[in-house]
Amino acid sequence: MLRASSQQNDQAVDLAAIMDGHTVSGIAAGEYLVAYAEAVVSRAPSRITAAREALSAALGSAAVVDAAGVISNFQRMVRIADATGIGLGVFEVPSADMREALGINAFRHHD
Amino acid sequence: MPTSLSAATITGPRYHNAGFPVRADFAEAHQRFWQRLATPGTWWTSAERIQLAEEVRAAWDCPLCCERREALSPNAVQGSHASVSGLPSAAVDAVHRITTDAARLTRSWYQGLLEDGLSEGHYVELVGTVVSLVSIDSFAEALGLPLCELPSPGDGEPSRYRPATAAPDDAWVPMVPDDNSGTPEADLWPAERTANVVRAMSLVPDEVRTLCDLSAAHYLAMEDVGRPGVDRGGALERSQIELVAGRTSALNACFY
Repeated sequence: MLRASSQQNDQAVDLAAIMDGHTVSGIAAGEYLVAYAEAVVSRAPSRITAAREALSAALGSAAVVDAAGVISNFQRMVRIADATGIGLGVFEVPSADMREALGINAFRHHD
Repeated sequence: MPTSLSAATITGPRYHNAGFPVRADFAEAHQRFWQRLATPGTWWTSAERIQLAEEVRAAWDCPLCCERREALSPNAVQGSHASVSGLPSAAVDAVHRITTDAARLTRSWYQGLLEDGLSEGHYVELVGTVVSLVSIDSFAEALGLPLCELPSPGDGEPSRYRPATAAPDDAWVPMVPDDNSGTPEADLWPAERTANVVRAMSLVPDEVRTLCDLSAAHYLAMEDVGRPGVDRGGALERSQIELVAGRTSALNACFY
């Protein structure tokens, strides 16, 4: 969806930022958003506090709340996908090139 | 989703002293989940659902889970979970593994749970309960807030409702077909316009309803997810939202 939303807005985005976390994404304040996501997933309180304060300074406290909502949403969605063994369905074909390029296929289920 | 709650009956997260401008729809959605925990589900009683939630919180500090997460393969480490409930061992293992190491679950592991007596319906409702609490607790942790106390269990028996159309499909678990028109599950998604990650919960329709309810507060209304030009009008632009979503998914090693 990042690729689609950036194309919609004519934004140049480097999708590698999703996989490695240090590539400059091209998204406004992307480095703060990525750092916050990494901190929350790590569950390390001191790291979360530091990343939250940096994001708040960059984008404001309402953005922190919105980002917390999105991160925690995907803490849920990834577990649904992993725990139910779903296939990609309608996303299989349109995402094939991107998945190959970014190495996402390495995350596939092992039966 | 369920009706709004009166002030006298509100339990669950409120966020009124959060120190951040937490939107009201977060608290409302989270309180509806708390209400669901306090009532019987489709396959589990309220008391059992709350025990599932307690196991989620215990899993993070479970020595077996910690050791398995560090191992090259989770199957290389044997032992017992640090359980805090009287739930069957298959349920405890499912809760702990989904909470702490979901990316390395396998179909054979899932089949083992069924062979140990967990039904498909019990499993799907367990997944829904676990992932909802993981999400709500993660939201609190992200904002540096204490975790909300779980509700007291309510009375009543599970409905044991199973959609007549649910069948094996593109998942380990049975799912309602993409075309759900003319069925009791027609409200779950517009016919032939949904994704497997939503259908994955459809063996227990109330889990899809909870998923949609939480998603609307945390991310986007389900009907807007596939519309990349839609912005929810919050503090983040859509591309910023999707960057956060993508990075979180990658950190969890999720293929989807």
